[in-house]
Amino acid sequence: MKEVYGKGVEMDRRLLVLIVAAVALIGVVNATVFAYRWMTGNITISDASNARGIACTGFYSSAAQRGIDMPSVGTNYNAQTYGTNTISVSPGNTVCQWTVDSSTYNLYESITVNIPVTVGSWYIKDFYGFGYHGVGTDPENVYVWFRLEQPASGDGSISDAYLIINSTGGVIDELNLLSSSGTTIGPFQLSRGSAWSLDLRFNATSTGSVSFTVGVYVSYQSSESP
Amino acid sequence: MLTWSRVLVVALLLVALVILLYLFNPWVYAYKPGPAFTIDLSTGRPIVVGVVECIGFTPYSTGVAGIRIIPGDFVCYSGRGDSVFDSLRIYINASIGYWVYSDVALFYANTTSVKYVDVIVEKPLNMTGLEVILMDSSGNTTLVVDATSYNKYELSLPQGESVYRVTIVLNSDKPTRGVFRIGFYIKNT
Repeated sequence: MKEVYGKGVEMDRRLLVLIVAAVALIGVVNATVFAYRWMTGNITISDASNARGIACTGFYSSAAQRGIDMPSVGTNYNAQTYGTNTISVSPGNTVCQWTVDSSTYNLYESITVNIPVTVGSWYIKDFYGFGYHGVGTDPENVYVWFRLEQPASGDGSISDAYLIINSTGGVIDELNLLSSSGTTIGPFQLSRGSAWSLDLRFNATSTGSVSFTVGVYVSYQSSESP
Repeated sequence: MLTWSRVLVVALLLVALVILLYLFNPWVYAYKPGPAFTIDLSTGRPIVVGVVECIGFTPYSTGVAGIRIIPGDFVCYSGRGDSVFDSLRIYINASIGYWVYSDVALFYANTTSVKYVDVIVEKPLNMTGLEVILMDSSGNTTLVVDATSYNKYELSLPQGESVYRVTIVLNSDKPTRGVFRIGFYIKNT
């Protein structure tokens, strides 16, 4: 009888410990009350062949993609500079892709350009192009800004460096590649099916390599710059 | 002697004590500075007005192509009279490439004291790049949330009214589909 009663006491103590622990836990939880706000995003990325509107703007060379149904720009993408050295342009990801008569054409989101030169002044004409390939339902015009993300710098020294944007009607504008980071020119209106050619003008005062990064921002509106 | 009834009495006493502590906890009391209730005519539900603390989101430019924003529950009005919501659901349709959705929403705060906010990526989305950027009214970047992995940041909200513009930058080199979630935990200390 006594043994049975003793067991009962054991159980009660355990229960008491549990209750105290639970109450202590409530006390702890009570101390961390937050007001909670949140945002969720559902993101759907379709492939380049579904690109429409501003997604279907990008870099291309009509010489590198023979037969492309876009203006003839970027004709000197592999031009010779001095000796046997040539300009080389490596395109980045394809952002817009379409097919004409079983030929596939691409617009690229970025280009990496390597131009071997010697000391002196150089004008690299039409090294690549930038265009807007839209379909019938896309907006007639989009707006483009060129922004200097990283000014020209490197182990070679340059006294003068400009990126020049040309339409068929002539020079649209020049971006000084030696100005401060964040310098933006634009907006420039780009119509469906049209393109610009890009030139580079610079003066190198010593040997070495120079690099710069220019960002291109395309929008449906012209009122707010990036 | 320990019996069931005594255990029960002790437990009830402890629970009562905790409830009392909770009710009179000055921390909790400070968080609800005398709200006044009124009826929202459109929904018929009682809403809280006159609360000094107001923290949440305001959808900003919903007319941008490829993005749709659905606010959650109404929490309060901003100083300009805009509705402030507790959450945002953002739907983005894009194609491969680098996209900047600038000023898609405002993160609004009007507080009686300095507040600290834990910003936690609760569900990351694995893609090349996905950032949610908060910019203050002068255009300076206050916080860059990298939503491609589990990350935690702390944001301090000054006393008074502060407004941050929300910009989303995303980058993908292949087709993808998914959901991310970012939680804002507002501490009262």
